[in-house]
Amino acid sequence: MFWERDQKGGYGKEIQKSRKELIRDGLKELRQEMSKWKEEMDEKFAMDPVFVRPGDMDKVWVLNSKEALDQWVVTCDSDHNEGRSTAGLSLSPTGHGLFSGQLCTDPPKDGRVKRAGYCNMKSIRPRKSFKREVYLEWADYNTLEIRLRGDGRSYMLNISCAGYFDVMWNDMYSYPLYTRGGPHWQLTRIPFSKFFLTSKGRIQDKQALHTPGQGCVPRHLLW
Amino acid sequence: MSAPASLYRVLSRVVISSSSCRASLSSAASQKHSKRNLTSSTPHSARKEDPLEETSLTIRSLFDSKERNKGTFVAACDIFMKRGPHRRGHVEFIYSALKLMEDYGVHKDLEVYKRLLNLMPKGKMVPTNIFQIEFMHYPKQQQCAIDCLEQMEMNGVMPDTEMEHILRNLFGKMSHPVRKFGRMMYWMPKFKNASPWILPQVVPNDAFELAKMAVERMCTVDPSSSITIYQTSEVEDALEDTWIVSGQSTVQQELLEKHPPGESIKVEGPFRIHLRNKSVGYFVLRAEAKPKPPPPSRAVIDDVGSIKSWFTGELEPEETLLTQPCSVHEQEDGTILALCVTGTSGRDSLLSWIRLLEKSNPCLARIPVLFTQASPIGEVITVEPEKHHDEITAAT
Repeated sequence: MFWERDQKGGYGKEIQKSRKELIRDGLKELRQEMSKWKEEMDEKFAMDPVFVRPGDMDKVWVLNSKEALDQWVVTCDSDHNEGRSTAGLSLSPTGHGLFSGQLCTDPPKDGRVKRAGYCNMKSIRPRKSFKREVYLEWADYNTLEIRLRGDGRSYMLNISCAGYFDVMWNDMYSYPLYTRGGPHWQLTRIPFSKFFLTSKGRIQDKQALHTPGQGCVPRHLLW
Repeated sequence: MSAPASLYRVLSRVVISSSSCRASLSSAASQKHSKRNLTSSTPHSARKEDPLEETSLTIRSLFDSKERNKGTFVAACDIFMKRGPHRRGHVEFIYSALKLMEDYGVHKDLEVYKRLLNLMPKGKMVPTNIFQIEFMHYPKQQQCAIDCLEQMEMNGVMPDTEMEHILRNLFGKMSHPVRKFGRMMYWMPKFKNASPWILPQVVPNDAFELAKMAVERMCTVDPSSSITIYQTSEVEDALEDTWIVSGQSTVQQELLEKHPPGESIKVEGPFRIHLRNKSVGYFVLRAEAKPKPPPPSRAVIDDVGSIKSWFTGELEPEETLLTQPCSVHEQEDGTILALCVTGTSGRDSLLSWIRLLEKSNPCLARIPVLFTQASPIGEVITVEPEKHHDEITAAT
């Protein structure tokens, strides 16, 4: 009740590998991680200042190739036998990311799950060299812009800002993403100031401000 | 040491014997009652599984009425209200009522929620000191009221001041349900009208009304759009007699006029658009995408525009005034020329739509129109009776 045992709330998979295998796998990636670290150090010593002028736009995700789609993870409630929804992320014939699936809001009759029906599309967490977790550097920006072609339903846009302490592990900034539907593309611009703080799907009474400098992991959640 | 050990052995034997005795009793009881079909689940679920089963011991609840509407629901609440001043079992009654609200079609009705909360006895549960307030005086009842509010929230029903008075009279002004009420009244109005495409709280069930709403919504992309309602009976030798809701803007008409007569255009669909919990299938008249005009070249040396910016070292943004900007309908995967929803979504109704479009777009007579064979969203999925998939095509 007062503390969290697990970052994933007990949903993560346990590592089945032995220590020897883990060391072997880790050493395989050492070379890449070292070169990554070298780049980071070069950047640090170059000390290039970052200028963001008003009106500047930075493209973070362009879902137009297979590699770009690999940066995303799709989950739904049938993953843990908590519903019947299915979802997938594929490349459409015109070469755009297509998030599709079946949404079923019927809860399974196991007497435990009260409500069901979600499909979720989440970007994988950015990491520095040696797999150190970082946040996306969005401190200089104030708006999230999305170009999409929706189906008329409302979606939920979640920016996950998991903090260090267990009470902050489930912190998320959310705002509904309304879609028009129809054959035309839609451009939605949501200021970061509009996002509200939620934790485990509940809006918080104290709307803590998003600390500048701390980045985010956006997730798109279908409801 | 031996005395306690032996005592323990005796005790354990007693325990074992008593448990075995209980087991034998229960097995005897189960054998005895096996034909009675004692149902311990809620009466509704038992009813749902086998409505015709009449056993000697059937639980008759207030929600057993054949007709399921607001009238019978409210009548059940009233009967419970008149049972006595104590209203025993009101928490259980409210929980079973909450479960059945959707079946009775009252899950979006604020008045019914108020009536349910009014079933709780007033005054008795108001806390008298701060410890009672913070440690949830009458927890079952408070949790029940919170669950009732939660269900309202899930169904998008916004409470009002009367609701606050009911909750305050039940549990006092600082109780958890009243706090939940405060949160709801703070957040729900913020999102009530947040969507740029407003829909009524309950969308109509009529396919024609839904189609009009869908086409209007899709046409908001272009302010010059106009929506026309056709009847297929206007066309000679039309096989289907139905309606067509068609949306086309003046920009799209101009694009259609500019279209070279030799190249064919396609009618594609049905695609799906969702309006709250309903969905509508729509069709699109689409031409192939045109290649974009080449950007103005920077080959001229005397062009002052190609001087690098002193600040970023990059070229200045190109002059775009001379090239005409594309309209919203000219997209990378095709040019959208018109939209429609028909009553039957049949092939013949689409043919009639093209015929009727010819009146406002005479150039359509010269352009070959192709109809796609397969639906891009796949075949219609038949759902099992238990499943309520979200994707039920309303208008198709």
